[in-house]
Amino acid sequence: MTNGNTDLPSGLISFADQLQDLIDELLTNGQDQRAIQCSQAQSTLRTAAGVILAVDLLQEFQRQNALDAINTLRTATTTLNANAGRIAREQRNVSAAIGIAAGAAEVAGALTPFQLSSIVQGLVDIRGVAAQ
Amino acid sequence: MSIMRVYGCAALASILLLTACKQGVDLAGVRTLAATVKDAEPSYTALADDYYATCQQSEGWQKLITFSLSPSSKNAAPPMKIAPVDRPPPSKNSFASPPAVVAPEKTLDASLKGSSVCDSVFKPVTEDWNRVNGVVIGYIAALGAVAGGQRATDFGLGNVTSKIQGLTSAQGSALNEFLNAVANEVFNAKRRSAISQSAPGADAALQTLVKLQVDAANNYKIQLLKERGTIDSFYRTSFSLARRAGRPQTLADEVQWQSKLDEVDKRSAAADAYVASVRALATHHRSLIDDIENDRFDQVYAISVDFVTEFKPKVLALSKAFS
Repeated sequence: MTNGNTDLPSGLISFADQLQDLIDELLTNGQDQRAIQCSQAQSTLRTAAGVILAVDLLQEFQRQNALDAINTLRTATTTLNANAGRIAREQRNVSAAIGIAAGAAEVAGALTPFQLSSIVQGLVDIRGVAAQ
Repeated sequence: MSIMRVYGCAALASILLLTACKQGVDLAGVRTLAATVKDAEPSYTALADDYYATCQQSEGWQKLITFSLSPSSKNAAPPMKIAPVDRPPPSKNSFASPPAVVAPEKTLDASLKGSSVCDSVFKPVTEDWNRVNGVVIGYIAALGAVAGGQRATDFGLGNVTSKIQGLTSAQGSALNEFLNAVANEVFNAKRRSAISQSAPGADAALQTLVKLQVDAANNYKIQLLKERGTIDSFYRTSFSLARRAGRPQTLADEVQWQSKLDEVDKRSAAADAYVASVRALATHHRSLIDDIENDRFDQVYAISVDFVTEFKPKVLALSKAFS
């Protein structure tokens, strides 16, 4: 951990674990009240260790440099996704344009030159009428 | 054949122009990286969720210890606390008796689960950890989206080249393949350029977040040590009490105790796998940036293959731990 000192929580956990020998011994000797007290102390030590660790980590997650890093990466992600979308669209447009070109070649190939010139002339006439 | 030469020269010129820009990105490598990391997403979520779960489970075991040591119960079931029931006064105009209010039954299982500490401290950690995992995975997935699909796009150029008179079928096919490759290379150049523009600026942020992920996993491992200790305490306390009451512990008890500890150890190993995987991710992203900065074309794929070889078993171990 960067800010963290894991020595203290680890030490608390280790101490809590060692208390178990004492608890076992007290139970064996019939000193139940003492065993309960030790068990409560053991529980408190473990809870304290867990909370210290979790609070340290929470602070680390919420530190400014972490928040800045999240924002930077999110911005990069948005830009990358936008570029991915744009490139995909451009590819589709190229495919569509090639499809139109292929269609045009198909039509041109099926018609005689005379028919084709008539169609072109017709289109020119329509354009002329529209312009008037 | 002159038409082939014209197309060839034009295509070569465009490729040379495109490769003159910053192009040191191996798209296949980036695609492989992104696809592999995306596969890890459920395991990452399961691990981060377990941070909260380990608190709940530790608290549960601790309550069991307290219950087993309780002098009044001596391992008997706890007295059921019935909540006081507020009955409204009977209506004068109604013969119907008021509906009975039944206190919710609090099972032993429910009473052992969770605590306010888990909800107030551990749950926000899990949420933040999942957020960081999501941001990192989302970024790598976006790199993969820019890198494109695994197969080259067929632009349908064959429909056009087949209309060109004077070409044999083999010539038409060769021309189609060539033009399609050129068209793909044009778009690949755009893809490389887009990655080259975004990835270097994101590297420092990625390294920061990966470090955070590693810290979180190490922190989680200590929480698991705490859970392990609590499980140990429960069984040892129970066995001490049982021995004193003249009930020896059985082999089945021992096996159950060990299996509970093994389960925690397995989750701890999963945390190690997670650390190894995110460290590998950071290293490989750094390699990608080096390639971009040094205009190296072909390094990333080899690095990515190494990465996948290293990463996949870790992710598999992670998945198994939470299956």
